[in-house]
Parts: sequence; structure tokens; C-alpha cells
Amino acid sequence: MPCINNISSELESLSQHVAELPKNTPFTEPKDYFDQLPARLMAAIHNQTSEQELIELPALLKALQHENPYTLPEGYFNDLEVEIPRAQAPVVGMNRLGSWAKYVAAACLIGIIAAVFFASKSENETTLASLSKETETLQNKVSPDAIAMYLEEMDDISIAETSENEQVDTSSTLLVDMNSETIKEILQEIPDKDISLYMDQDGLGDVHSLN
Amino acid sequence: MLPELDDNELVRLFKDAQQREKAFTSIVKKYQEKIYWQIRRIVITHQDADDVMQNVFIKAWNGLDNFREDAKLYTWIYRIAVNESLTYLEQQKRRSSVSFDDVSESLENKLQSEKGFDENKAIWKLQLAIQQLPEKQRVVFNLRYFDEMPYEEMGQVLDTSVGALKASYHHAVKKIEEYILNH
Repeated sequence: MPCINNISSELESLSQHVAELPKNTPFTEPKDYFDQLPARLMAAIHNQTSEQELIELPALLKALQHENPYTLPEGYFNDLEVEIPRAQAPVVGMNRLGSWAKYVAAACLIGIIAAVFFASKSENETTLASLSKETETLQNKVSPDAIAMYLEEMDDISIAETSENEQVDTSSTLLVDMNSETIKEILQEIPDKDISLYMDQDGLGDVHSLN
Repeated sequence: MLPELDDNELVRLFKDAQQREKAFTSIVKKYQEKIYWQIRRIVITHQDADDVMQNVFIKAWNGLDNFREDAKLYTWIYRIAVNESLTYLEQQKRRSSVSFDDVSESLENKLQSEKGFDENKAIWKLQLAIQQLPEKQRVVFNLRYFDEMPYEEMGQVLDTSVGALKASYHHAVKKIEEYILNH
């Protein structure tokens, strides 16, 4: 065979060592393997075909679903009469109410918010007006000298309390170093409202009687 | 069994439902040994070769209805056998999570476990040398050296040009020679 000769000569030209190696394989197959193989293969193919049929079964069932096994009495649909009641309750659409009701609800909500806002604003204004009026009255009633006398008395009390209390920081000379002019300056800075409130709390409301 | 028929006649009979199994049994008997040894040289153990044989012939059974008669049945089955053998090795590699470099080592271990293995005998030394080759060169060498397959037919089996196959065979022979001389 020229082809085989070509293969042999090709191998010899490539490698003399490899060409001299034995061409048979060292492996062995089990006894009667090739005699039994065709039957084993056919069994495997039949087994595979059965498995394939199981896979295809759902497709068959799917096709069967289109067939209806039930029957009807003859002329059933021709004789079928549907009785419709004469008086029917009027049908009211729910959406008709909904179209304008939402605008009414929104307007009501805005109205309530506005009413609450104006009511709270007028109340604050009334309170502030009455307070300023009260302060004016007190300012007319209490003279600056009475206030200064009161504060001097308060300074004396503070100094006495401080000397009794050793824990107080001696570096704090704020009250000790104050003279009457400084106090007056401070008093001018303090709002009249706060002074009157303080006097009311300490039962000095009738201080004007000192004058 | 049917009398000796050529491949085209066997394929034609296979397409006849009445003759299907007989025709296929004849095809199996005609090619089983060549296919088995080709597979065995790739996967090494008989158990693996037997598994691959079943896969090959089940695929052949399923595909023969669509087989084009202008192609050669022999090269078609060979092609299935080579692809199935390499796929089988790939699956084994994935299952055991061995790297590509470890595949030849794994095959070498299988070879050493074979009955009658003797690394000093030339016949086993050649098999050890073949296992060192890259996958494609191993298949080309086996087809050319043991089955004496012409390059044109090999090109149909492996879907590769004749020039590339000649180059692969040339490299394979040189590597085997080097292995034989050094071991």
C-alpha cells in the first residue's frame, strides 16, 4: 500500500528511533468485550429512547388538552333563554362624587389652617399690648431712687451671705466693687418688666411706699 | 447480521425503520475495535473507554438520520469518538479540579496503573512519551502512527488543514524521540 509506505518513510525521515518502536498498543480489553459490545450498546440505546419518551410525554399531554371529552344535549344552545329582570336599580358611578369632593376637602383644610394661624397671631398681639401697658404703669409708680435703695440693700445681703459661705470664690468681686452709679447704669439696661416681676416675687410690690 | 455492505448501504438501511437495528449493529461491529483503541489511547483505562464508547454510539444512533451520504461514515464516527474522548477528559479534569498541566500527569498515573506496565519496555515507554504531548498533537500522532490515517481524512476528523496536521505530527515525533532518548 503506497499510503502506508508513505507513512513509514515519513516517520523514518523524521526520526529513526521512533520508527523502530513497536506499533502495537500494550493495553488489553476484557475477554469477549467486542462480542458483547453491540448488544450492550443496543440496550443502552433502547434505555435512552425510553428516557426520551418520558421527556416527550408532557408534550403529548399538552396536545391532548385541546380535546374536550364532554358532550351537550342536542340543540342546547338553540333552546337556551336567558331571563333578564325588567326593573333594574340605577347604576351610580362612584367616580362622579370623587371629582369635586377632593377640591372641597382641600379648600376646607386650607381654611382650617388659616383660621388657626390668625387666631394664634391676634392672641400674641393682645398679650404683648397688655404687658407693655403694665410696665408703663409700674415705671410711673416706682422712682429711680427707690430702685437704687433696693439694690443697695440687696448688695448688703449678698456680701453678708458671701462672707458666711467660705466655699465662694474670693476672686469674684463683682458685687463688692460696684458703686451706685454703676448700679444705675446696669439698672437702665435691665428691662422694667423684669424688675417689676422680680419685685412681685419678693413681696416688694409696695416699694413706692418707701418714698 | 447483514452481509458485508458498504457504509452508504448501511446508512440507507438505517433510515428504514424495519432494518434500523440490524444496520446499526453491523456498523458497530465494523468499526468498534478501531474506535475503541483510538478512544483507549486517549483516555487510557478500559472503564473510561467503555463509557466513551457508549456515548459515541448513542450519538451516532441519534445523528445517523441526518447523516449526509456524501460524507464518509468512518471519518464521521472517528470525529465523534475524538470529540467525546476529549470532552470526557475535560469533564474529569473539572470534576477533580486539576489544572491543565496536571492532565498529562493524571494520564501518566493511569498508565502506570495498567496491567503489565513496565517503564523499561519500549512499548510502554512510547505510551509514556505520548502522554507528555499536548492534546492536539497526541490525537494527531495516534491517528497517524497507530491507525495510519491519511492527512486528508485526518483533516475531516479534526477539522484542520493538512499543513497544520503535518506540522503537529512533525512536532509530536520530535518530542517523542527526545523523551525516548532521555529516559
